[in-house]
Amino acid sequence: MLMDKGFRRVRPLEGGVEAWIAAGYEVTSSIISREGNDDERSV
Amino acid sequence: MEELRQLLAQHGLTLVFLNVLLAQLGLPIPAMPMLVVAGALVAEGTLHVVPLAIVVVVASLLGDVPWYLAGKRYGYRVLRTLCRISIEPDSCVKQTENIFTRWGPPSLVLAKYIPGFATMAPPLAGTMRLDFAPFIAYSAAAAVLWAAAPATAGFFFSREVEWLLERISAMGTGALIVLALVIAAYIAVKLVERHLLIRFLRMVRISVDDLRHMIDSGAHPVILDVRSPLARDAEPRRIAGAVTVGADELEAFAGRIAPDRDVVIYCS
Repeated sequence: MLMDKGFRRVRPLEGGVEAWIAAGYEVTSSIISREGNDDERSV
Repeated sequence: MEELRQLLAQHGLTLVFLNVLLAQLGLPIPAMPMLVVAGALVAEGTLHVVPLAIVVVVASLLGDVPWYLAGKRYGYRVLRTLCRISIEPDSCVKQTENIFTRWGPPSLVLAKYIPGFATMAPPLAGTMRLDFAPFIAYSAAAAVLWAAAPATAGFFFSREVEWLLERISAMGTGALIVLALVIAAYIAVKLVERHLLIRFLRMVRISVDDLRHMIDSGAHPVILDVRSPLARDAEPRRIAGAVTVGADELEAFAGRIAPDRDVVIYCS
């Protein structure tokens, strides 16, 4: 779909987020706070 | 021919059972030819339709239930492990989820007609906590419908099937050798196609180390997390800086970024 929109430099990530986590690189997780807002935290 | 007929008469149900079970467990063994022959044997009275249907359902369930239970116990990991052996693991998980999300439990009935989905549907049903009773009901209905088409064809074309069996019987060992060579050639062609496709995909994809290097070098790629809600529930963490975009929001999101940007996308 992105290629159809004119994007020419689109690449899928090999192994997805699992491979990224396994490599030990930085991730974040969204946690819904009591007020109902997204609270993004680095892990 | 008489020997072959006797073999099928004596062991027809056992052969059907083993063939269907191995096919349902995911082995690349076609069950259709055996079911066509079974339908022809019903037409000539050698087999009976009720025992045949029971054998098909039992074999099919024995192939599906372990995957369902594994999905129920180990969740999303089973699906990911199964998809890992497919050519495109990301799209495999995504497509499987999309089908199940769209059609719900009745998709189990359709599963056997969709290449790749047949093996994925039972563990996905377990992962999504479908109760055991409806799972068994849908799977049994799926097995009956799946087997009915080739068996019915064999029933109505029993003369042609008998003619073919006579030819095979007349050829003796030679027919088996020719059949084995044809199957071996088919598997070899598929393996070469798969190897070439995997090599192409590896060239197109970006590794996690290359993405890390791209970020560190200041390239600022747009990283899109387009996983399904189910996948995000299973793994709530995402790549730092990634933007979560639903499949239905992707087109609108694309309008907000420049087309000359590097875009890295992940869906599993």
